[in-house]
Amino acid sequence: MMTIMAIPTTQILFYIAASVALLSALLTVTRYNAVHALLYLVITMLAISLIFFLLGASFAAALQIIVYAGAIIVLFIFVTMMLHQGDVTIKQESQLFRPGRSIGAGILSLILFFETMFLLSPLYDLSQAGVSTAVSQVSVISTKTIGVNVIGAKEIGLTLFGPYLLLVEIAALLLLTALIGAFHLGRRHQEVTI
Amino acid sequence: MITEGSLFFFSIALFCIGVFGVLVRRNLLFILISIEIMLNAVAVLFVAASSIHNNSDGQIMYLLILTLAASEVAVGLGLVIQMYRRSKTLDVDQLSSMKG
Amino acid sequence: MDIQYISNLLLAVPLLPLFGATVLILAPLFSIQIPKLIVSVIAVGSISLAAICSILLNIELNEPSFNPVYGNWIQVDELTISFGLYLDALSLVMISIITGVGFLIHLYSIGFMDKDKDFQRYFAYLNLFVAAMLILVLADNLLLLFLGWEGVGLCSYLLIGFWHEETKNNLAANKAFIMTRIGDTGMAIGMFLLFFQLGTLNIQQIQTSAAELWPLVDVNQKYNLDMVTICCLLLLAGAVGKSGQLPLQSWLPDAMAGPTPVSALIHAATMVTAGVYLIARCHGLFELSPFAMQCVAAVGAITLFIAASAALVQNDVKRILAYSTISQIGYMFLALGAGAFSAAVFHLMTHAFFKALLFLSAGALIYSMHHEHNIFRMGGLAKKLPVVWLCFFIGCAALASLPLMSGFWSKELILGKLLDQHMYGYWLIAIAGAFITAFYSFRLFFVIFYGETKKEPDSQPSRIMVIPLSILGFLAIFGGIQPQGLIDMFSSPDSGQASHSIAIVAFTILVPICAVVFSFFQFKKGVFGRIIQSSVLNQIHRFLLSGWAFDWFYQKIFIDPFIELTRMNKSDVIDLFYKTIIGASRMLHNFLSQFQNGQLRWYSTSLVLFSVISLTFLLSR
Repeated sequence: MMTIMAIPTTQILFYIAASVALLSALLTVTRYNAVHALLYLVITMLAISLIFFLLGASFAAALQIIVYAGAIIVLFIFVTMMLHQGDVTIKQESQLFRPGRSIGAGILSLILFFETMFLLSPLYDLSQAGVSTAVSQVSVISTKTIGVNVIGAKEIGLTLFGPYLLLVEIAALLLLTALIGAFHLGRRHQEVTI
Repeated sequence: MITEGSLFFFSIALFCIGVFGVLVRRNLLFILISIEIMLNAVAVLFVAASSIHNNSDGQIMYLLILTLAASEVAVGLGLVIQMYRRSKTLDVDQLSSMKG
Repeated sequence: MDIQYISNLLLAVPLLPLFGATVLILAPLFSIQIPKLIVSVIAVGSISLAAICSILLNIELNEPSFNPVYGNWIQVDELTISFGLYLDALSLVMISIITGVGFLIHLYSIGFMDKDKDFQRYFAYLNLFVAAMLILVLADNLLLLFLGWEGVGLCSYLLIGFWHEETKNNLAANKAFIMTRIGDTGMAIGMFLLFFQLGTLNIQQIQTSAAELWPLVDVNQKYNLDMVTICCLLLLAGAVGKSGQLPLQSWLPDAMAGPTPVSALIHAATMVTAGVYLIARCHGLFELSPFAMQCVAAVGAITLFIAASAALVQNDVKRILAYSTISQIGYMFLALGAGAFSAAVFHLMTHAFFKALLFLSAGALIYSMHHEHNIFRMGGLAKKLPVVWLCFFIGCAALASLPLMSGFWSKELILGKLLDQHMYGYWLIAIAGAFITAFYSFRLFFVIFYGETKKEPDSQPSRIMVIPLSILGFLAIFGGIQPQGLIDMFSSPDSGQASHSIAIVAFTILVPICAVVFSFFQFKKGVFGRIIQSSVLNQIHRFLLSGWAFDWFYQKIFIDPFIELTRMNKSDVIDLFYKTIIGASRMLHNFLSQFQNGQLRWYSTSLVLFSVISLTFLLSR
């Protein structure tokens, strides 16, 4: 009872959300069925959104749900619906993706993971690599807790349209480019066989 | 309370799952999905940094990533559709006409 | 006598034929059709006017030399080349021969070339040739001489290949052009060397300053390769190339591919004597180098013997005459080498008469016999072609130097001069050459005109061909008068005419007569029986027929190794280096382009792999 009480609610929620996110992410990349994969992706997004809430970034969490779990996933699903042909597609996908053959890639990813972890562990002194020690050492085993500093939409808005105005313009340009690009790509051209 | 270490762990693990997905999948759609996961892993780090330092810069970067992800998905899915129209498959291994 | 008048007259001599050539060459460019009659009038008229000018000069000139300068041609720093003509006894004799014989041959050509479709082109080349030759002999400096020298080479090329539809003729023209070019290169180097050493190209200045710079110390120094000897030998190379002497003689027999009047004009009477003229013109220089004189004499002696023996077995009437030309020019070189410059030029003159006569009558013969060249397919023509028979007889007699003919006087002079210089070895070769010359010339005569008739002539030579023939015949008999100017010009005070014993003189007279009698019995009477068949004799016959196998020799020595070399170098040895670079970069390209395989997963894998490796590197520091 004491131990349960000793663990704060935020921490529990974080662990659950993190586990769900990692699991569903793993399931996302290993599904044959694109619709299943997308549903797992939505779960990942929602879990990440919860983590954002727990970190006090409520605006980011809201955006995560609206833009990611909403708009982007909907796009994916539309495309999947256009291309999906039921069992045929799933069968094709099972031809393309063989978990047995992905050991090499798995090992490579694991090496990358451990190396990054090691880089951020106290075993490794960043100053050796020429990184300025003036930067405070971050670490994966750091037990420093993150306080719930709620940063509201108002503050973000002020910063965004203040010092980061240029970023807004860049984002606008980026979206315009993507719009034109998507429009161009989506047009039906004369059939050109590859 | 959430510790920094666990957040880093979570972010790196998520990123590596994304990398794994990009490496193993041959379907262009799944590759795009994996890239979304990788983007999210980075986004988590930015938001966490914003909370650690108690300022809004990290969340601004998150907004930029969001914009980028939206653009990327729009263009990427356009490409997927085109590819499917032209070669009736989404297997990226079939696409090697740019071979040097 | 007006200086202005003479200098204008002198300038007119080369310019008149040049004018004729220019008109005839330019007219087709503006598509002006000139009738044959007008072409003849322009061509023959221009050269006859030049001939009249040279006769007038013969009358008017009463100084030892005359050197009008018409202006500067090239002027760069210290190099000043004037456009100046030089007239003295030597060049006077030369222009008289060129314009006189040239005029007769032009006249003859009207008849000979009457049916040819390229009548105008022929006369354009012929006029251009005469103009170039006149510039050659009148030039007062070596560069202007070289201009004429190359001009005659060019015209020779054009005229040998005149009937250019046949590949054989083009090859002969190429051969003549390339082989004379070898000599010309030597001559050009000699000119540069002379200019470098003496700072002038004016022939008279060269001779005076060379005498000051390289005084002749010892007459008996024989094998001394000093500067003057090198210069002389280089000039000799040019002379040898142009005059068809050993070792560059083999182009001349092939040059008979051209029309016969061309052979008469270029390859007998004028152009090939340019080498003789050059050495006679630079005699002051050659006299400074006894070794070079020895070389000239040796070249002449060997050439005259080889060419005479080759002429002995030829079947083609024109080739016989070509070899005899080489042989006669060999005599001239021998005379030059012995220091008998006036005798050499005298022989040049008489040779021009009788050889032009021989060639023109051979042309008439060929014309009448339907382009038949082989003498053994003719025979018994004495009664049928009396004019040709007479001309041939005069020509052969002069060539054989039978007494009282023009050739007799000049050859006797050379032989006597050889004895004066105590060059007994050369004298023996010359006597042997004279015997062979007489023998083959009468072989030619008897085979063509006696014996059984094998082919009927289909026409008699036209009148316009007979007129030059008779004038030349007259000159071949009575042209044996040595111009006094030459004797004055070349005589040195110490060399008096030594008298020889009657026996030797009688011997030299008797040798050709013996040869004629011998050939009379051999070819007319057949006293010595038919040809003896023997493999060794056949070998020798073939060897002589090919002109001592010089063509074969050059083929083996120069052409085959060169072809072999080019074949070896077909893939360009030097390019091998660059090809290695190309190969290496192509190999690298092939290696590296494997990474650009168009496989998206390969790219992403390599990206991740690179991240892993670079992180490993960072961590292991």
